[in-house]
Amino acid sequence: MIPLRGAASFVGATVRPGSEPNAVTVSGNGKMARISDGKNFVPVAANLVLLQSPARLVGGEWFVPLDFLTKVLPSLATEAVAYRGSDRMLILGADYPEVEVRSRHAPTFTRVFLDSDRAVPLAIEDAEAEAGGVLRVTLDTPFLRTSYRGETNIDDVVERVSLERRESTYVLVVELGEHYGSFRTERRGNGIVLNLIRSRVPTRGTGTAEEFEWDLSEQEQPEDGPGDKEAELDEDARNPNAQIIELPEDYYLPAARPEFPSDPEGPARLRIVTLDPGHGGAETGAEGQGGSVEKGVVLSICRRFQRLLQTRLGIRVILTRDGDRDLSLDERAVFANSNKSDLFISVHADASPRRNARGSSVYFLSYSSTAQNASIGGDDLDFILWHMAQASHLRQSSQLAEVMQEELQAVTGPERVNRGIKQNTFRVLKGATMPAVLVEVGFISNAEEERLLSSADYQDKLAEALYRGLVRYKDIFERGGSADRTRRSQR
Amino acid sequence: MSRKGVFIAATMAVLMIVAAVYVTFWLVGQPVSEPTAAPETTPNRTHAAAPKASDASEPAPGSEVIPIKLYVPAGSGRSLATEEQEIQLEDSVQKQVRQVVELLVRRSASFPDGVEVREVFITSQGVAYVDFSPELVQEHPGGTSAEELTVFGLSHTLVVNFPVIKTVKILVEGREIQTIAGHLDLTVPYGRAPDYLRPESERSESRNNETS
Repeated sequence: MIPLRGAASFVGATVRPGSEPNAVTVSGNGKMARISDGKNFVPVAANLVLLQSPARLVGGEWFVPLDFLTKVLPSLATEAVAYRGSDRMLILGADYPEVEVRSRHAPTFTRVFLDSDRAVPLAIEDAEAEAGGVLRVTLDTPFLRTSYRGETNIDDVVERVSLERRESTYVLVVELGEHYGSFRTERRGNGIVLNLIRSRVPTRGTGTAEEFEWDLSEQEQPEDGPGDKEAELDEDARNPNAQIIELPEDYYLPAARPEFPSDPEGPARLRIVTLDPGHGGAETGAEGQGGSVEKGVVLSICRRFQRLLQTRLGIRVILTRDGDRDLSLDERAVFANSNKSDLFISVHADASPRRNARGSSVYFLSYSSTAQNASIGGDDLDFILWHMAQASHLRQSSQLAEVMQEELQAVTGPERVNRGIKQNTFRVLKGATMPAVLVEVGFISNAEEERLLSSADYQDKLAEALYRGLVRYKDIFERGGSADRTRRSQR
Repeated sequence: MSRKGVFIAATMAVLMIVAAVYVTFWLVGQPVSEPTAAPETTPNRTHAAAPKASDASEPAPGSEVIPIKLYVPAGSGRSLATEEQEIQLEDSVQKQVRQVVELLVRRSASFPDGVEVREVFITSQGVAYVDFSPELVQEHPGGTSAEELTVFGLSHTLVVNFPVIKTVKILVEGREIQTIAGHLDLTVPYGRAPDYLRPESERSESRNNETS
């Protein structure tokens, strides 16, 4: 968290008390943002911005999460604002290049245009430039602005193009397809054009060698001529006028999540899992007739599950509470978000007024039909934004629920209704910005299941089942496939 | 701005309830919060007289009964079951709804002992605000299923019996609560129960029919 006043002062924005005591407004650049205590959304001019955790008013001082710098501050600044999380640097001023990339497909070759509004030192790395390989263009600038989000499946000469940020440079990564043959570069203004030539001229259609030559000759005034692999440009390209503010070490706690929702193009690897033992502290959860309490049982199961994941899969597993303490529902999701978790699994034990109720369920979030009438109750804005957080992950959440419950049933017994896979509006799942499920491992209100749930042996069995479910999900997730496929292959 | 809207709506709701209480008190001569001690609402059977349509074109409240369905925990303890009941006909929907809620709270195992219904208010948009005493949260036994049976037992009962009600919002001591037992988000109103909570007779055939 960072102090709001300090952040606002960077761009000359002013902080004023809001109309309500628990709110404050920040204005600058003719726009206004409204910050409310305990809310993780910020109305900025006509837009709504969702922060990774709620703003807080502590001892008269306002604190906002770090992503305030990237999500809100730019709107309030007259100059361009950029934040480099890796170096904790806030950059003010527009004196860094604006870069755009586009590609154009032709029958005999594919061209990738990199345009810049000012000169940027460029270096081309072609060591891996072969069919199925990679061609890289390094832009020697620590910052740039672009609307380019990368392209995939362009054709069989160029499969994928992405613009990636490195420590102090940007790299245009061109992934070459199976029909890539060779490349030629040419300067174009401050930018560069990559001509990626097909290995064979297709026999069909209009793609002829002549046409290819003709196309190339149409280039706008090549300066250094094609084939130039080092395009060294002016030194003053490196932002002489940009103001760089280095933030002190203690300026933030969690690292900022780069984008919301998480980048679907990112590498699909399961690295961090947050386990959430339900309830805790004064809130005991459900209690069995024999005296077992939910908060203790689920913590024990989560620890066993954590051990399995860490020792067998080498996944980083963090618990929202590793002990008996109070923790609000919203804080649990925020904890998972700020730790950049890839999964959120809340573990609970069930209870029913009917003592014979038994069995397991795995839930994922639903938006009840009533929720569509968001205008009729609750905090509308709050609801809509919570809604957004989990909405983009629902498909994966349902896949996770499915494999988890399938494995659990092997221990807890078969479920008749919906195979125990259910959907409801769980508060704890709403704010999670990653696939999230809530697992009910069994009924603590059922005498027999209570006895089982409090035995170490059965807890191990449940942890093993959850582990097997997660392994299956990891497989699906990392292959980008579907849950149905693995289920069938197991039968 | 929306918060302000909700606040205004809530204030108006309270004012209207207060007005309703005064008017009723003045007309009937007894506070509305006291459940009518008529034998018709006893748990076992209704003994009310049959409708006497011939006597008067407008039968006085209490002289007629209407059938209703309560949704209470099923034997499995994991879904709802119907319980047929009859209640006195009241002269306003508000009173009728309140009577059903009070009967449900008495009859259903998913409401803790000692819970009282403080107010019932229905908005023109079809949201029934049902305000309970703090025992609803304090004495709740916990557990996702138990909480689901409490929330959807109420919302499904009201939506099924009263076409005018689209959704139900639970309040405690006049305030919005985040949750009863730490699972369901009660800052949103609830309507019909999801398929897996409904009595078997009301479940849809298709498995994946969980409507959005």
